[in-house]
Amino acid sequence: MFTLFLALASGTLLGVILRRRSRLLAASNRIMSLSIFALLFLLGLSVGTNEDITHSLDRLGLEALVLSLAGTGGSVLLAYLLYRRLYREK
Amino acid sequence: MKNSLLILAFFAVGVASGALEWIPAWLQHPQATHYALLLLLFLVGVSVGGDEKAWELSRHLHARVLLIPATILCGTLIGVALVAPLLVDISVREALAVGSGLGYYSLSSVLITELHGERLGVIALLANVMREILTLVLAPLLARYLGKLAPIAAGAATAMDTTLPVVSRFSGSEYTTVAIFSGVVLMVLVPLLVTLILGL
Repeated sequence: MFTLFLALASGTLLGVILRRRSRLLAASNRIMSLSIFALLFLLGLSVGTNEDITHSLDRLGLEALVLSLAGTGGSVLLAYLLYRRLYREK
Repeated sequence: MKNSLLILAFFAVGVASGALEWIPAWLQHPQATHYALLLLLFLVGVSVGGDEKAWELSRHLHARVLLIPATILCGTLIGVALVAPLLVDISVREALAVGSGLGYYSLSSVLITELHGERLGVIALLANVMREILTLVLAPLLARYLGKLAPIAAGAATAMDTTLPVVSRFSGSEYTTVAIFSGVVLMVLVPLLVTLILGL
């Protein structure tokens, strides 16, 4: 867990240092896309070899849908209340 | 959107090649994912640190604008915590971890897999992809009935990139800067929150 934080923090520091070097930053964004593709492939791979998961994908999907609706709904409702307070009073 | 489909395609090909068992042995090395994740987090840091516009933007906005991402985060966490008891095999903590993905599914799913396990990682992937799709589809309705901030809230961390076009279209272009600011703040929070919630 600490190494994860460290990776994030050192990256941010380097990003701040590299601010004016837009070509390096663009390259880093491209590598980021590639590493996301690689990671999602690897995640798929371990999911595909795990029968526990492949056999319950429909159930996991349903749970994901419930969590997704609840999270989105909660944030939208609170944002609605905030919107009324911030903007309607003026 | 093109990128999201590409990412899902990579995931699907991974699942297929795992299930059909044509996998080179070195890819199954568990450390491969770990190092790729470290690289990704490092690069996420670089892109956040290097994004001058986002930092510049925050200087010109009132501190009050921070209320927006804070509200979106609280609303999400309250929402998922409330439904967690309905889901038999999901604890409140697991639900909070999935909610902390805030739509940023590529990073949150991998991080959750690494810290907690594949099952929850898959749920996080699906739930956060669904959040993005819900936002893209519902943005016009949300903006009309629940205020201009609603599409930004639904998009959460994705309001700075993939869902930004629909947000500025339906909330109005004057909300574009707010959407980017809120999206950046939430995006930065995703890895921190996920590790905190699962690490405790």
